[in-house]
Amino acid sequence: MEYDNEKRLLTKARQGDVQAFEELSEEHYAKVYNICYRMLNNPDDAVEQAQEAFIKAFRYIKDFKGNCSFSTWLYRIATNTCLDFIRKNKNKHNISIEQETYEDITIKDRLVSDLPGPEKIAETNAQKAAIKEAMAKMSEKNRIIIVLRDFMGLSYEQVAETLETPVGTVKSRISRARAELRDLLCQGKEHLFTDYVK
Amino acid sequence: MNFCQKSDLYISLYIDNKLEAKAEELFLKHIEECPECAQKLKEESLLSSLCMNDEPVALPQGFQSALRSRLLDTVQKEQKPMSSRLMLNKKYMAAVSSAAVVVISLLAYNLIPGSGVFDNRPASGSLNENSVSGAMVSGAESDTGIKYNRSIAGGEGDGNNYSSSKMQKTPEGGNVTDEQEAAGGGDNTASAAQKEASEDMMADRVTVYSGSASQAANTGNIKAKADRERELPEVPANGAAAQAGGSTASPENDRGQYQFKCEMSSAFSADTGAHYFTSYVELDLTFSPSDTGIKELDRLMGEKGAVRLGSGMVNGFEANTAGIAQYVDYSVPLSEYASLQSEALLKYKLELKAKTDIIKTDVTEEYNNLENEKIVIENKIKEALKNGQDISSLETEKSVLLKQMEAIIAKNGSMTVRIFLVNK
Repeated sequence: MEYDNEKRLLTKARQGDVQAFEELSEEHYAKVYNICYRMLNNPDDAVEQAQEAFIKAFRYIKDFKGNCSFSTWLYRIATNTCLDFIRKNKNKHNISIEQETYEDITIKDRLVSDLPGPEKIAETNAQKAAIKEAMAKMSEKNRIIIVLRDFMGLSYEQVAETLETPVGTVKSRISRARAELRDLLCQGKEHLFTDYVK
Repeated sequence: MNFCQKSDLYISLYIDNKLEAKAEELFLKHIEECPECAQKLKEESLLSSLCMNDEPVALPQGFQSALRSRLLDTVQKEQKPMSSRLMLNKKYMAAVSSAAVVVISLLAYNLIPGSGVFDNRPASGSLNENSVSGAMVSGAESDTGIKYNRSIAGGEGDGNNYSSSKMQKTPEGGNVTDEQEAAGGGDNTASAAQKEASEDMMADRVTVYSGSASQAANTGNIKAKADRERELPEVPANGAAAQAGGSTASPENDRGQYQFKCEMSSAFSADTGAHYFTSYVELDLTFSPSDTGIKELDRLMGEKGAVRLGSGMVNGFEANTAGIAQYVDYSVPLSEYASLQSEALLKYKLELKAKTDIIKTDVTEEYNNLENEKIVIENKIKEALKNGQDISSLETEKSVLLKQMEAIIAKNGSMTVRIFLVNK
């Protein structure tokens, strides 16, 4: 979006213009939804919290000073909204449809699957489901790092701005998060994993 | 360099190409020598690539429209009720305060034996009656067929509620700080600030409800504007023939005026949705002059929770029967309209035939424009307050806008039904 146009829309959105806010933010709908989806592992909750994030953004847009990009600001609100939601629903156990589908297959089985070529799609799906399941077991702080860096492809600087953390801290947090994910998926099954990796 | 000790960090930085050339060279050399670190690197590289290559999840259908509804709903909820806005009007507050002081002083003075200005009156209770009678006027007047609008802007009898509204309100500056934290810092602060804001709004709303309670009790929560009365004169209560001269313009014009001038407002209709429509339909009621059709129609409409808006004549036609207007207008709840014709026939043997299709007009844009205008005026008021300028004309402008918005909200949940009375 052109800078002038964004500025114009921001001014209007700050005055409570819903249409201007929509124009400003609709290109980020999908990304914000994806952040929520990866964080919450449940499509319904993801829709609800993504919308909640946009509503918060609309309500507090007067406080957006332009110190970071609008998208980063939106991602920050989305991550905070998700973290709040997770904390509030700590005891609620969500099982997504995908998880139920694969509940009889262990994580290891999905990663070491050596099904023949025609089954490749199913295999990939199984791998993704394994990662999803492992993500659900990760701590929220590490999960958000994996979501922002590895799933959303944000740069170290963008992750740092989103989480309002120094880049140096982000570096170590990314390494810790990846290590946790790796441990959840591969611990004790190195030989099997190696077979898959080679 | 001890890579094994910080293997997680180096592996992660290596995957993201964040290692400096020299460090990368040393790290790769270490990987060749250390099977454990090499294994970790393979695993982590695979996992990262799986995550990065994962297709984004498609946005569910209807996300955008649902969000729009919620945003519009948010805008609607954040509208401050008129009572709290009037608190900002210093002139109004000064007048109310002065009046209160005078009344309390007189009452207190009257309690001192021999010194009361009302000593020659039979009892002090009569003073109270007199003093409150003004406030009671609105309720008393609105017991008649059409409910005249004694809107909050009129202010009669609402003084107490204004003060309660102000007491609930958090200073704006304080809110901004909380909101900033909520948006940026997140965590529980966001929800706390949001909760506080919603509580604030709820408190204001409760005030509006209680403020309008005295009126609502008599008006059935419905207030029709006086200018609507001018447009569509009511049938004289004494049953005299309606005068053709007092009739309104052509039906089309009349409908147009109706759409925009008949302003209905329900105290409890704030949350009717994000899209606003006006619905209008015309029906024919065939009956013979000797029938009690009109009374039965009124009874049916009463059962349906409909409100009679008015009645009138159509240009070029004479009254169809003595004392009976040519059409009657009702506001019928949308949920009740579907069964109106069948119930009329089954219960009262009234034949209601559709004269027109339901004319549904989307007035969302009109509402949004009003909302935007309101925001502009609010900003002007803020500026004027900062500069110490008079804001009374701006406040008037704003209250007109608010009334128009309320009218749109109220019309959203009801159908305006014009019933033409046709002789058998």
